[in-house]
Amino acid sequence: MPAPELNDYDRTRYDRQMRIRGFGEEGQRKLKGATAFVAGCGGLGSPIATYLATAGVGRLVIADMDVVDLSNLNRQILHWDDNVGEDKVKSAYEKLVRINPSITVEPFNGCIDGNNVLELTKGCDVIMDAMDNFETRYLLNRASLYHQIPMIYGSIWGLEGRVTTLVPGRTPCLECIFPKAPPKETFPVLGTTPGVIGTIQATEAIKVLLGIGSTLENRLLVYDGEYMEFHELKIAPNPECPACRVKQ
Amino acid sequence: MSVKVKVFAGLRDLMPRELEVDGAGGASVSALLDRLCARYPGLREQIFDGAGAIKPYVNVLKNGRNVAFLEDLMTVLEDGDIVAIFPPVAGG
Repeated sequence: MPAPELNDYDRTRYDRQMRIRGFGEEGQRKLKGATAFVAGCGGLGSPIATYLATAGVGRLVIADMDVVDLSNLNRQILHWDDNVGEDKVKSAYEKLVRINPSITVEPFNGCIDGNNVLELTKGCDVIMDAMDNFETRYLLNRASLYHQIPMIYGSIWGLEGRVTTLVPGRTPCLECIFPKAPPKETFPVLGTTPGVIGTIQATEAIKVLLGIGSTLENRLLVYDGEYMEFHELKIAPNPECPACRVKQ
Repeated sequence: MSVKVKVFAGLRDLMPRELEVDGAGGASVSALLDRLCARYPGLREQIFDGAGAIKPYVNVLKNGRNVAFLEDLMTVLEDGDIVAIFPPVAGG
């Protein structure tokens, strides 16, 4: 399908980013024609969805099964005090369509599971991992491999975060890097941590959609906010990975 | 013959973020981790599984390279090496 045309509103709204090398009118049209699946509307999902919306990614599918809790508000910036008790996708949807009324936001209020993950991600160009558990991340990873679309992984703990860009056939998959899920926990976190990691994830997604620059392919970026250091870990496919080494 | 050790995330609740371990150069990753686990209670449970292998979601790096892609626990350390231990972080 050819990328949609820009209108005068788009040309003004996105003027500053269309000046970036590799963007231009053609790049903005690519973003307008793109769909991102944002899995989770929490700490990571808030900045991810916000920045994809402001950048003009034409269609966002947002998914979450939770309701807004008061304890979410130190980091989940799409939700406000008067949203406590509401479904997160409803709260997120209402903000996102006001942040950018020219894009389409499709909410999915429910649990991402093995029965629906392939359908939910069908037709998407990129999967944004904003989950808080590895079980669902593994499902998203399988969907990324099945549809052959990139997945931008992010996770956080305290003042630390990890992020990488997973591209089927070119990088390890999530199960290559983390073959087993760590135990679940109520994790400590400062709101700026998902702010840093989520905006890096959104940057990576936009670069992937435009095909510009170098992404975090085959590199796991570790953000250590406590001592303000970034570290890079080389990552490689596991030749015996049960997820990506078998035909999907 | 010292090796520098750096740890991340929750491991910092159990031991210093960064320390020099004398006499670790020339020995294996296994020997280094055993010494650390003997010194810091709770560390063994965070790094090793019941069979004594590094847990599959814990990354141990020698000079930025994952020891899983080297000789794993048998990877030999040299004087001045930096060993980094990254536990998993799952939050979102």
